[in-house]
Parts: sequence; structure tokens; C-alpha cells
Amino acid sequence: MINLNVISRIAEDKNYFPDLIKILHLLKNKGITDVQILFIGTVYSPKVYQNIMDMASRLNVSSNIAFTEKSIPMSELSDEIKNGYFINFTIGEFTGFSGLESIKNGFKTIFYNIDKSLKNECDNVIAYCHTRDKLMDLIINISQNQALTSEEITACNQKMLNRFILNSAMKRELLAMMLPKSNHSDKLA
Amino acid sequence: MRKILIVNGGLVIGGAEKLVHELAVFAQQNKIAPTILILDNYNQEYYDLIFKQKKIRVVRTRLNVIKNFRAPLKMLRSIYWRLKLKFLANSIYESVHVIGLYNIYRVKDTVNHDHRFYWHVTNAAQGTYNFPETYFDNPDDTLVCINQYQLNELDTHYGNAVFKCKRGLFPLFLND
Repeated sequence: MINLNVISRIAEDKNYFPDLIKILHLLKNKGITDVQILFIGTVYSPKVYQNIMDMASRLNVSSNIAFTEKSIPMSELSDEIKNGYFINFTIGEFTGFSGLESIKNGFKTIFYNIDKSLKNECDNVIAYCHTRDKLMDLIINISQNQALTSEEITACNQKMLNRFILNSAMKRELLAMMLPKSNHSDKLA
Repeated sequence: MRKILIVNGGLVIGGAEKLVHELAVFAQQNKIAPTILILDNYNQEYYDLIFKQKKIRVVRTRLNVIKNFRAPLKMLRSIYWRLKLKFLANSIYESVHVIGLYNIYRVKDTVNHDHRFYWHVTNAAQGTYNFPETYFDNPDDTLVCINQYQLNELDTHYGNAVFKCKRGLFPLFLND
């Protein structure tokens, strides 16, 4: 079983879910039926929610999806969920807080770009999927060799982690924004 | 102790709210007292308890629609904050940080400060840019983007000439 988790509110401005339903369908056509997607997040748009349900039904993958219908802090997720793969929507190579936290929590995190107009500079990075095909290929790889692929994703995630911790120059810059009238260069924590 | 004001519309689990949290914690770590101002929303939400545990002050009130005769205490509080932020914000707070361009309308005319930072936390893929150009007309304000794509999107949508405010780029971060 491959458990994929998507942490996102179900809302119009996050509505990149149909791609994932389509992937489930394509995988099923290839004989890969043991992929489950859990959508973790509050339903802000019943319309978007219903659209996911309808599409899943139409493509015969309803049994492969589930919803928590509420937001759950990452620390409170069950171990079964934590052990799955977390698909995080990105804008090109930009990762939002849910992706950052996912990595920081040690979750196997896969980044899926939702703005196809943007150039992909991370094309050879396993955890970055610029296209639907690439994401599907990665899931197939997981299906064929879960241990190795997981290891590669985890290694890739670990390399990213340092990017999100402020270095002293950035701390000074942020402090300058908070205290624009002060000389703050020697006041860092 | 020096103070800053961080403004948002809620404290649910979400990216903008996480930014509020990281900014507030960073401030606290650097001996700056953050006040988190949540406007037009009196619900108790996910980060309220977290901020309470960290002894970070959260204020929930309204600034634009003050009339609230059914809740006179809330109305008095609104009047207090409205006056305070209109006339004294500059002397109380070192800077004001507004999370999300979609929150600017709540503070543009009600929080007077020489150092307002508008943190831009969405991208074009999440919806069209429908923010009025007047949001960017004050040279004292700073628009902070969190990724390079946003700078390009703003330029494409509005054109460079619209921006009288300063513009900067600062990445999302997690405190140690």
C-alpha cells in the first residue's frame, strides 16, 4: 500500500486536486491499485470538495481517496499517516510553510509544481515533480522499489532543510525590518 | 522593551498564520515584544493557545466597523484600538507587519505608521491579482515578497510604475 497525504485546505485557491485524482486513475489503468490519497484539511469550499468526489467517482477511484475534513496539526497525525508520503503543492521551486514543516517533521515530502508556466530548475531532483507525468513516474518508482525510493526522497528532503533556517545575515535583515529605526547589527539573539 | 505589531485576519492552521508565528517568535527571541492583532474575527483558533503559552499578546478587535451595541465591551475595545493605532502607532510600535495583501484594506487607513511592511503570501496561480493600485502608493510602506515569482507577477500585472512603495524579498523561514 502506498499512502499519499495532501495537507491543504480544500479551497478554490488550492484547487490542484484534480491532477491527483487523474493520476490515481492513470495508475489504476496501469494495474497499480494500492495507492491511497488522504486529503488533510478543512473543507472551505463544498464545491471544490464535491468536484473531487465527483471526479473520483467518474474515474472509478472513489475507494482510493479519503478526507479528514478538518485541519490537523502535523504533530498530531497518526503514525500510519506520518509514515506515508506527503505531496506538497509548490509554485515552481517555491515551497510554502506546509512543505517546510513537513520536511522539518521528517516526513517523506514530494513537491508537485502547480504552475506549469514556470521554468523548472530542479528537474533532476527526485522530490521535485514539475509535471503530472513526473509525479506519476515517481509513484510508480515507489510502487516498484519503495525502500530505495523512500531513501532517496528522504535524502533529498534533508538537503533542503538548511535552506529554511536563517543565517546571521538574514537574521540581521529581518531585524532591520522589525526595527527600522535602530542600529541592530549587534543585537541578534 | 521595543514593540512591533503583526496584523492578520485569523490564527487557524495555515501558511499565513505560520508566518505570523515565526515572525512573532523571532521577535521574541530578539527581545522585541510582538503584539498580534487579529481583525474582524473573535474566534479562538489554533495558534491562540500556542501564543498564550509563549506569552505573546493576541488582540482581537475591529477597526473598520466599530458599531457593536450588542457587545458594548467589544465596541469600547474597538474604539480604543482605533484611536491608538490611528494616532499613537508610530510612537508605540517600531514597525507594523501585515500578513497578506488581502489584509491591507483592514489597515491602510486605520493604522498610521511610517514603517508598514506588507507581506505578500500568495502567487498568481492561486487567483488573479485584484488588489487596488492604491495599496502600493505610499513610499513609506514596504511590500515584502516571499519568492521571486511574486516580484515578476506584480510587475507583469501592474507595471513597475505603480509601485511607489519599496519592494523587497525575504524567504520563508523556520526559527531554530
